[in-house]
Amino acid sequence: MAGIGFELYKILHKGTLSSIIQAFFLGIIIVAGPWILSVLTIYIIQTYTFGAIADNPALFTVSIVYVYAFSLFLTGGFHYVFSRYIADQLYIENYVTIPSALLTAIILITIVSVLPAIGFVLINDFSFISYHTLYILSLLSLFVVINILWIMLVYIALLKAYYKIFLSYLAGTITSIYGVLYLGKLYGVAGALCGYTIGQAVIVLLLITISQISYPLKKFTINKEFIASFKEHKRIFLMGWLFNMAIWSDKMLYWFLKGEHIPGTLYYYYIPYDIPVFLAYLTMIPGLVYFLIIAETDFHKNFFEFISHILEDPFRYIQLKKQKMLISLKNGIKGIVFFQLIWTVGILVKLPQILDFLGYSHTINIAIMRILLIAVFFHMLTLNLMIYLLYMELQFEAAMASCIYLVLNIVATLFSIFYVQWLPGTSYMLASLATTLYCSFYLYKKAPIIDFIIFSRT
Amino acid sequence: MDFVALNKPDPSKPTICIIAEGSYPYITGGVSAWIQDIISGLTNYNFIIFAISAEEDEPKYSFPPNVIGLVNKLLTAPVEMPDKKIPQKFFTAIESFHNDMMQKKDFTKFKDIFSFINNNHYEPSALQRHITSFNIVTQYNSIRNPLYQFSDYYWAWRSSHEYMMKIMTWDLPKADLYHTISTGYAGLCAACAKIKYNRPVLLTEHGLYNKEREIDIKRATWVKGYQRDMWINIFNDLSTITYDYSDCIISLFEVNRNIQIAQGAKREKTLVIPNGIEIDRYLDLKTETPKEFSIGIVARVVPIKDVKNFIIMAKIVAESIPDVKFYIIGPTDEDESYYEDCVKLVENFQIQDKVIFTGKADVRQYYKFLDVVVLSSIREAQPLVILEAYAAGIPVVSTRVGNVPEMLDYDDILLADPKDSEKLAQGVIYLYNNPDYREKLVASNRNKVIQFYNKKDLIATYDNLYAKYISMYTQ
Repeated sequence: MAGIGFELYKILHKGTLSSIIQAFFLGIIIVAGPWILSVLTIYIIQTYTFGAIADNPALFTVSIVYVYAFSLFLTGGFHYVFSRYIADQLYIENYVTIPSALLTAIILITIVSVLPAIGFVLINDFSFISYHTLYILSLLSLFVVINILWIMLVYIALLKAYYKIFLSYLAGTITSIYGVLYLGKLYGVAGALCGYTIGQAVIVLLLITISQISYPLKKFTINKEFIASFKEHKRIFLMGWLFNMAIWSDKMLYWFLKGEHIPGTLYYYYIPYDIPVFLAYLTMIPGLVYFLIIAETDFHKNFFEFISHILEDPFRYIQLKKQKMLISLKNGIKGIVFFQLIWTVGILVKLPQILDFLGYSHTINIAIMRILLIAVFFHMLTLNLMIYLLYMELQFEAAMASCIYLVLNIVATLFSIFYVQWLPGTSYMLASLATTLYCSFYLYKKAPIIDFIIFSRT
Repeated sequence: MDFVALNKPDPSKPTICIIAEGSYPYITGGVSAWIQDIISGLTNYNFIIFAISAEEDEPKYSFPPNVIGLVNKLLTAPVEMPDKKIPQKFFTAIESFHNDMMQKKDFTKFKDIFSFINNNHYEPSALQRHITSFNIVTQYNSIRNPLYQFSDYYWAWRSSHEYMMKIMTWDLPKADLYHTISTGYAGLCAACAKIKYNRPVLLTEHGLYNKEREIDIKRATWVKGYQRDMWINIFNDLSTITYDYSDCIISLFEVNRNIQIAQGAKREKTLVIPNGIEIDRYLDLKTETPKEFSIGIVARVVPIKDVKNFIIMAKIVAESIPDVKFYIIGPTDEDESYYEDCVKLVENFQIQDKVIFTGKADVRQYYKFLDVVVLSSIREAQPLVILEAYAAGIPVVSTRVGNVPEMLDYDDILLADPKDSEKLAQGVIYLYNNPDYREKLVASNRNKVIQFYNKKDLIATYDNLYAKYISMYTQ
């Protein structure tokens, strides 16, 4: 869904330095807003406000990490189907169905997320936490809120109100930090979690409000067509679901097999891997922003130029448009690789200094961090290649790629833990590299015959 | 095979497989009646009916006791076969067949294609969805359709070739002789049977399948651009393939025979066998003389018979002849909306009191008193109605279609171009005003029918043909 990408592309092409910075900054907000802010919030809370969560600092962080990880783990497939449905509606200019699809998505995701969350609460014994009822309610609410936030993250790519989006994030994040401080002092971890949840809920509510301005919901209706589209897009669903499982599987295996445990709960954490992972994830942002603003917008334009003429043009013109699209695809991938490579290599070279600056030089194993930086490079590449595969209607290949990613990551991680004692992240790096190769292979093989694929599938 | 056993076969008799497309036993009409006559007349053979149709239907005929089985094949039904890797040599064969066909009009390599598909049980859609097929299609597209939409070309290819390849996957029943009643898909089946079982193939063409399809295609609004040419070419090629694989090519009259030869039928294989009727059933039926001048059309109320043309003619005739009645004799339920249009037209002309829709009826009851039989069809081969009317002693006015001009001795008074209601009316009015001329026609027509169009002769001729070709292949 390249909608907002085009808007940012326009800003970028004003050509001034400030417009470039502006476009990339807004791009970051769009691709990674809630995710960066959550890392940032936790970082700030851990660094400066230790007192607020002093009675059990690990519990607070692990609770939030679990909420993020398991929300993606459970509902990752949902986001892709929602995104595809919205994109289809935009393509056929059927705007009325969009707000009702959002409403339906929010209702569905609430139902889907509440049940496992309640299950999780029931099998844990949180009675050792003071104000544990408040803790449980906050945990449940946060899980639902974050699940809705992912949906909103897909949806806001539609909206042109990026400044309002930025301000929503800012307001929510400030509320979260203040909430953690204030309620944490009063009610310990339970209060801190409640404060954090309130801030995230503020973001969700503000984003819903903004979306209402652009695409107002005129009637409170369930969009049955959207629900039905899950059947049609089951491969996309599978691709998204398995992809998110894949990228979390090694982390979870490290938690459960090598990590520390909070007694009475199913909470596990593995500090030597967890902190580098979250820092390394942040390095993916430039590649994602480049994809959003430059690669995808250019490709999207050429792709639709090709698609919309395939039924009307003589073969020669179809071929010309296909060639243009393939060039755009090639340039896009080259650009992402180049851009992300410079960035990753730059960080690799200056890694000791950076860790020193962030204050992690004693807690983080520099070798693990290096492996993770390479892994994240391929992870980001895989993600973008999969989006290209989806454009090419190669849903089966995309779903297969996710499946391979998941299986390889699990197998390699188990192998590493039980047999070879690789550094954490090695398995993730190998699985990401293999999946990148798999996606590249199919894209290389199938993209040049996309006209054949389209005709033979109809 | 979807073989439905009907009557017990008599092992002492040879078995004939009749291949009929879009006619017997599901659609009533001249061709179906002809098939029913042949089967009931030739009790010394077992018959299997291999019917090709577009949709599921109930048989409209009761099968004579010598029909031992029925296979109904739907062209639209999907063919499901296990997925298989298609070897490259298949596509090489395909390309070589198409090159021969396009450059030299040589269809001999058809048998390679058929054997390949039929022996290996490839799924037609898998063949069509293969990248090599796509490359072949784009290659021919760049030669034949370089300036227009590729999608039209592609879809014409997909739909036309899907049917042909489906037919090549079909299991055909074993028989001693295959008798196809048209070229087209039925002809293709016969050609396949010939390749597979090496048994004789007879072809009887009532109309000319490829020419009829050509008219349909030119009229159809949904066929766009090059699709039109492709479909027409394919139907012509199917005719040529059928001619190639037929041992004997029969037409009802000379003009069609010459067109068959022009389309590639070898002259020495061709033969003219006209239609025949049971003359005794119709001879001198005309016994009553009602006070009105009675004009009838014996036809199903469907567009191809152009009943509207008849009604317009009726309006014109009614203005000149005061005491006149028009009978539209035939089933009205085959195309109900067309029938309703016809009724409305009659009402608009305010001739309801003069026009009678009889529905399905025994035509002989009407031959007793009709003064003129009119045929207003857009398309006919050799209409049995004319033969019946002749035997019954009724003169005929008709549109100039199929063999009709020859049957009417090229008499310009009695012939009109299709859709020319005015000219039809003039013919009818002329006969009304010239009773002597009518008398003369009745006498000469009756002699002609007795001499050339006797069903007994027709049956005997086919009996001889069946025997001849069966023995030729068993020696």
